Amino acid sequence: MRPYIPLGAYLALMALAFALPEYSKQIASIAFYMALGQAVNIFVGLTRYVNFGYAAFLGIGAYGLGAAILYMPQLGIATIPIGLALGMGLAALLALTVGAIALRLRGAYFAIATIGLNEGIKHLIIGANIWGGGAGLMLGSSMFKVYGRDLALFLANVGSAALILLTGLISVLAMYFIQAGRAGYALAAIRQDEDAAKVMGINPTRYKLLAFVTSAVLSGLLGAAFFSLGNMQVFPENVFFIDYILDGLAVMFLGGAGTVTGPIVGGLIYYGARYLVGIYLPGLQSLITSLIVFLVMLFLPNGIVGTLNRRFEGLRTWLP
Amino acid sequence: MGLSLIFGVLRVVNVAHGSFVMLGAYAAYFAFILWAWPPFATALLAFAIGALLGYLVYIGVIKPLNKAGELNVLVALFALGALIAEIARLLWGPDFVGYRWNIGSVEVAGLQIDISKLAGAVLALAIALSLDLSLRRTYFGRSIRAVVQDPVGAMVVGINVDRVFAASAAIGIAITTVGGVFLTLFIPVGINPYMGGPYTLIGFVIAVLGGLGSLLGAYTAGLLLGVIESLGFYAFSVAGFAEPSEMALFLEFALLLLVLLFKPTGLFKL
Repeated sequence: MRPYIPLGAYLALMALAFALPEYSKQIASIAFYMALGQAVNIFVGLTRYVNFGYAAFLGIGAYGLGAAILYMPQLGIATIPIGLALGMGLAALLALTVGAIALRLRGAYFAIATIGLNEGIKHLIIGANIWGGGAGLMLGSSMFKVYGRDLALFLANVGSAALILLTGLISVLAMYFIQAGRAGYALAAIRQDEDAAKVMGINPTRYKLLAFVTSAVLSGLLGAAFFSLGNMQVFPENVFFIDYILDGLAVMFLGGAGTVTGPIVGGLIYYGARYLVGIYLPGLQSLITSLIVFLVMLFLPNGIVGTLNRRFEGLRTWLP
Repeated sequence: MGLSLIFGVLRVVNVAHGSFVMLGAYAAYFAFILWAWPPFATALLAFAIGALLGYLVYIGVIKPLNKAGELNVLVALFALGALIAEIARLLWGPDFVGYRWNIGSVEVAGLQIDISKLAGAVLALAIALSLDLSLRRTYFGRSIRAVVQDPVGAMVVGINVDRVFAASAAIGIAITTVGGVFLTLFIPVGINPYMGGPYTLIGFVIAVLGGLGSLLGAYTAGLLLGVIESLGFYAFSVAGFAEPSEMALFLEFALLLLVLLFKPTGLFKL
């Protein structure tokens, strides 16, 4: 397996974002879907467990950075690394808590536990009035004050796109190394037969938790880059939006679950499809998304890259 | 209860649950507004619609994908749920609608209770009991339980396992849809294409609390959850939270995690 093509795709997009800052929003959107699909892939693709609570990690990450920008303005530019670390830390903590409880259970029960995750965290933030409650966090004025107007706008456009692309790049590397290493073999064994893997001395919960937390941290980073930095605002109804779960699943399954290249191909096609639907059939994006997932599940369960790899032998080396 | 039946027999979690609740609620609304049908008449219609949809879901989604693995079925059902909600929004608009069916109220221990609500609760109990009874007593119910215990063994003794699966999916979704009809008696203005989300969560909490696959357990757990929710709402408003109803929903999620942690087989299964 050689990861050059997926890595090259991200580097090319990154160069494009810096060369054409006026298109950075579009590039950021494409990269968002690609990275989201990849983050979902690290957990769902590698373990074949389904997580319906993905948006919760995006949201928690966005809130981490948002809270740092809003409540610690005296730190200046250092709020960004601190906020990102806070967002990722919170996402990891949430994933550890839920994972430690629910990952001991088998597929169906785990899916049940995660289906409430997103709604549960959203209701906690609105209900207990944490971090602005239902009104959300508005970061624009605070960012202008702390970083200055030009830097804030640069961060929101190019910075956010670059960070999303970086997240995607890290996800590709994480996916590649997990798959190629000891954990990859353990996860493959668990996928095929969890009981047999247990007998062979593999601790399934440990490896599933590893994949779960990795994917949660990357989602947190992605959420921070996309919502807090890119949109300069965090609304509970936006960040905990159920559609992002379907988006991630659509990208992953379209490209091919469990493949490194899949989410990149899926992200490109998916963004294109959404863009066209947005122009010709505005308001129907969510309908198309669920339709895509449904049809892909029924007729192309291995995804594009997965199907190609099955059809042509040597391809797997170059499109892992 | 619909959730419990489907999981109990097919070992498939119906993650599109909330969308079928929503369909039932809309059926009650339109039947009442357009033809002035009382909700209990609509319940019969909803049962038929739900059974048909459940059968189609089984033939179209669960049966072909079950071989490919659990993940594929779950994701396909999840997408189907979102698809149904989107189609509903397209047809009926995103606004909240509702109706009020006033047939008087009775006084019980100083509390005014609408007869419609009381009748809804009693009918729900009647459905739970009759379903439980038919699972225990009729030939078909016994074949369902045989399939639950051992699908291969059931096949050997001449039970059409495929038909049992299809029937369970149909009945399970039919009951879910009827549940949506009854729900409209308790929420005067709350029918909306996206109303399903919280009910999926609530449905799962109830199903897990009562023990997945246990019907009377599901009914008892539903009552218990109602009490917990009201108490939680009261406690949170006393404690001074801004949005006590939102906190009550969070409480349900926390409860779900706790039950899964300590007693994943449910409270009522020994």
